[in-house]
Amino acid sequence: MVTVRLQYLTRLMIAGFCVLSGACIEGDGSGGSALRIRVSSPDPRCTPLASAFPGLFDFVPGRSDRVVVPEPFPGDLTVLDVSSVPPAIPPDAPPLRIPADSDGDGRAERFLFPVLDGVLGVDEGLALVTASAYEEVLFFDPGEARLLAFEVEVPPGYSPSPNSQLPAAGTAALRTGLSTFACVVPEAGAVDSRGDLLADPGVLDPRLYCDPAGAPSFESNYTSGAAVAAGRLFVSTSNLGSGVGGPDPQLLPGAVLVFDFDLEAEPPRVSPHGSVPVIVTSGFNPTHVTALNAYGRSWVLVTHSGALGIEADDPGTPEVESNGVPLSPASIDVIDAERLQRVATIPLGWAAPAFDRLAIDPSGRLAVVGGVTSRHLFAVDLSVLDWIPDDVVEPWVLDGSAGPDAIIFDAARPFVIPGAPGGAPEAACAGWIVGTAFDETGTRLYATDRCDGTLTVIAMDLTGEPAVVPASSFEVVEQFSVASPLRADTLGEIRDLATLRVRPGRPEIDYQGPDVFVTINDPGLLCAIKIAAR
Amino acid sequence: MQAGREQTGQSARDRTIGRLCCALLTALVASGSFRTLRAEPVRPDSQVPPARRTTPAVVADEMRPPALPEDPSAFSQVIEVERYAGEGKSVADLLSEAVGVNVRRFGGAGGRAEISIRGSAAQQVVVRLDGVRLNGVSAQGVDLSTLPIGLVERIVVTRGGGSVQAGSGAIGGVVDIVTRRAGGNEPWRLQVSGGSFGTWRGSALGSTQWGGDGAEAEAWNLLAGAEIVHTRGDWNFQPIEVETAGVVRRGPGPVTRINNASTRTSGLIRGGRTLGERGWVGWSDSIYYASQGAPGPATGGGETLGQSPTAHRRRIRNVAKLEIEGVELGAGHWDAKGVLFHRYERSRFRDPDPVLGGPVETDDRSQELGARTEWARGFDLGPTVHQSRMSLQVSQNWFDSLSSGDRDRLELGGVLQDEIAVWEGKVQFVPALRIEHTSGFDLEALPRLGVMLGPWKGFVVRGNLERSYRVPSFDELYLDEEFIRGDPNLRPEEALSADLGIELGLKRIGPLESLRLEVAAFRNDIDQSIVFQQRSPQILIASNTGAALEQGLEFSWAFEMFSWVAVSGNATLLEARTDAGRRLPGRPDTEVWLRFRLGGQSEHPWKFVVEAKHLSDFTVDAVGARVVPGRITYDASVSLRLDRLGVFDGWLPSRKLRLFVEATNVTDQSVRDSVGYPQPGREVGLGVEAVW
Repeated sequence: MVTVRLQYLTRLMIAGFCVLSGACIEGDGSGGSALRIRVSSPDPRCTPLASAFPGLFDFVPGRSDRVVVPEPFPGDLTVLDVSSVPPAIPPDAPPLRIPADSDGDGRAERFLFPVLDGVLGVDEGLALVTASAYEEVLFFDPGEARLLAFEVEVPPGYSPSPNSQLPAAGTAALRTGLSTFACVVPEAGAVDSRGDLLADPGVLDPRLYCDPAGAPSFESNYTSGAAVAAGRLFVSTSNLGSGVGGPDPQLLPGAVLVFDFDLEAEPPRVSPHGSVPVIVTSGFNPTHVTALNAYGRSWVLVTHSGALGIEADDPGTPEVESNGVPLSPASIDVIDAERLQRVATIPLGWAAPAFDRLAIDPSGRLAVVGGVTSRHLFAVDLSVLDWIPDDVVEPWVLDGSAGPDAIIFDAARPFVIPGAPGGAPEAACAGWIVGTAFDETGTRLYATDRCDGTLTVIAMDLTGEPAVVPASSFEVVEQFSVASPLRADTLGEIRDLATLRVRPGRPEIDYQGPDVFVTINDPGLLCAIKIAAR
Repeated sequence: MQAGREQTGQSARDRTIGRLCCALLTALVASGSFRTLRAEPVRPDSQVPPARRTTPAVVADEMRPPALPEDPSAFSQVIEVERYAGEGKSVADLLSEAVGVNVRRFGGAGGRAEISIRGSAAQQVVVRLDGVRLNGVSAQGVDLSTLPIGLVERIVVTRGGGSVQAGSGAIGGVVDIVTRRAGGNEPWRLQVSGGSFGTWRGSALGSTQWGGDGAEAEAWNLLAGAEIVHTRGDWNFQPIEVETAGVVRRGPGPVTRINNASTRTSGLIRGGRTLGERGWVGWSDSIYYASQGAPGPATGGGETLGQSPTAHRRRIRNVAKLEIEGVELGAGHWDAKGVLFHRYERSRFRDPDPVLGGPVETDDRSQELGARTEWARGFDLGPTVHQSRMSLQVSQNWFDSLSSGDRDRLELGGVLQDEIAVWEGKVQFVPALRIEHTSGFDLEALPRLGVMLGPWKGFVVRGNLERSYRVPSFDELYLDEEFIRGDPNLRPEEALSADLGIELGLKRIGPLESLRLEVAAFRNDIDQSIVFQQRSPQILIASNTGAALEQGLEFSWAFEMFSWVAVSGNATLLEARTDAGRRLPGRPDTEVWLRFRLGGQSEHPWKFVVEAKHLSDFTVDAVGARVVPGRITYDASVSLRLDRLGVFDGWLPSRKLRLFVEATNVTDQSVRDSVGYPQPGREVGLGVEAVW
């Protein structure tokens, strides 16, 4: 009997040992086929994306049938062939997932999502991708859907900011991404978006000062846009302070980082500018930079959206108020890309311009941007840039107060896009003109509204090239629904219209098929729309 | 004096032991044999409806269960936890095997688990612990992982609208968790188990009783128990693949779930005493504390797919109850009951270094203090037999939160119900009406009509029509965070529920010792569903949405042969659609569960169980663009009653000693109920349970 007991006990102990020590029998979910989420589009014009809230996409220069779409979560760059409806992923360029070591410096990035905000097509083999969480600009080859290695060279004497991932000063290294952490040193007496002196106690933590001389300074953050002009790369950083997302956020002075950018070198080379690595801008919250080659010079236009809060709810009304509220004025800074000098500012008032790059007509005369707190368009006449002398010392203010007036539509005199019948409630979503783009001829302007899900076609008549663009040159000619409005009862429908781009080239001549492309945030879609033939 | 007390104590212990022995002997004799197997009850695997209320006898050796949904026509299922001894199941596991129920898990051991009944949302199911509602006033959905299986005696699932019985929130149904009670013939119990991913569970329970000698004597009882569950939770999982436009995107290889360790501790203490021949007073306190990492969703980039390495959550809950009950009181022979209850919850979340934004710290506290009185009486009226019941409840809720502010809410409710039996009980009508008022909202009248026909023995037809509703939670009303906001003007969710079904229960048909079949059709018309959704580009806002329809069929079956072979299972076919025809997210159309058991339910020396569960695909977004594929998973367990093997006689330290090995997800499938929250692959555990 004892023998039997011992046998039982021995077996039980062996079984127990196996179970308790048994990494060999612990699973990792690999026993069956992988869990595959199938994503489909409810609209035949649209291609489903892996991520909701796709970033600002762009066409590949020289390949008007290809776009690059940044997908923020978990961080994919997707090339799509837009010659078909719906757009398709080309077999030779599968989506690229951004690796944890996105810049190739041998270290995984600190943040867990890259948050790919936007793409700028530079040429057929290069697109620049801004990643606001990683604080980088990534180099992407849309032809082969891979990251490109650039030689990142840091000039001797360059003073890196604490989190900079650039190579050490005086050295160079191959990198697939460019760190956009830099030390921003505003001029003495600078204030934050609340009007508080940066040097005052409690406004900017002195422990965060990065200036070797000890001046009030901070490290740039929130990489918001990129532009290439005059052989240089310009990167805007929003420089968020405290309380962002709340009713009264603090924005620190805006900045544009300047890099020398040599695409002819092998490998291509990029380097912080030796003497002007950072240009402090005149406003708050630079949300994008737009390159302009016109009037014999290269310019960079910096859009300041200003500090934006969220409207508090009024319990006395049945709707939940939740629109954005401009807390500081908006403007467009004009930077001479050759001289690296801020030469002018175009004030827009309390406009809260959208976060995409400016839409510029093919002639380079008009720049247009929508509003994120209204159903308004703002437009400036860029021909006044021709008046700015090369040797300007103090930046001009192009509002007509003491010189030329660039303003066609600003916050005080906006171009109003009509709301759609049955659109989003005014209290929660009074308008957000998220995308604007000109057609190939420059006679039509398209604008998308997140709130109502509409695409509005605006005709422009600049016949005779008037010296001053009259506001009456703009006229809404058509508006149609692309997505459902943001209303409580539209949950489950495709909605939250986003980026708008027009396919380069002449419809029906240079290409067949749809000419306007939009992304939709919920769910993530890229949709092809044929407007030119309407 | 000291000697006298010792003698008295010894005498009480002797009496207790004597009663225990008598009870055990009686039970064994009644079961037919000391050593032969006790046959499973007629309705295997707990598929029995709740007992019809009968006037409770005042007994000293056992606490009575708290009031259960007292609607005999309702479709209910009683899950006796003891039947699953040696299978290593949690409360969420047991509930997921119930017909009409879907449990969504957000992780492995210690991970959040939510219940859906007949396609409802988690906040549309009322979960009660010993009759006290656990649904808080803030988020409302109950996390099933907070319920300690080691301290639970049975679970009652009532499907379909239940607002008449449970008030606001019971649109999908009601789950009653009944903790173990003092007394019985197994007063001491110890269970320890351990297994994969550093998961350990231990529970201990003891109870005693004294007094009660003679009809006039007072009887007391006392129970105390505790459960501790710890897991490292560092299992590996496969990243999901995403297929868009015919192209499959794959993530990196296996990824480890990080920052996922948890320790959960639960305690239960209860006592009671008789009050004369017709009265009884009892009190109980159930406490829960958890400290756990909160890795969050794993859908991001990088090597860990965006899991948080630093977020941590702590949670504490205490439920206290005092009740007094009397039977056949006064000239009217009323049964009466009074309950005073208090629930306290505190949840703290801290992430010093979140993925996006600055440090996050939340601290929410809520408590509810309430009282309830119930009166019931049976009487005849002409050819009809009545069991009438009325109850009144008042409760006050307080909520203290950084994100929703300090809020409070008063709730008043009253119920009138009659069970009318005619033709010797072959036909029963159960009309009921609840009037409820929640401060800030209109008075609600919630009528219900149930019908039950039993023309032949073992054959029952049931049908119910009921209106139910759910008052918005404080989060839905008042939440004010950076990117999410409540709406103080929300209206309550409303639902009209109907179901109809038949039940067949037979004994000894050919080789079958028992057979039970049930088929039910249900339909829930829901309006004003509350969802956090994007109505502003900046933030999500709680919103009343359009109408939705949840309808379907439920099948359940069970049969047993030769006392040691049992097959049971159920299938739920669900159609959950919005009024625009879109599928509601998170609801599989088909759910099938099968269980095969060899060996006896509890008294047999060994038990071998294999279970299979199939879920069809389901959508995970409101548009229905993202579909998670269906799956089949298998669980298995083997348990040995060492005390029944005959080879350890005299060696065992306890009266019952069970050794078990259990494995879940045997085929190691990649499983997710939510895209961002992976579940572990195959897990194996070993455990021992001793009962004295």
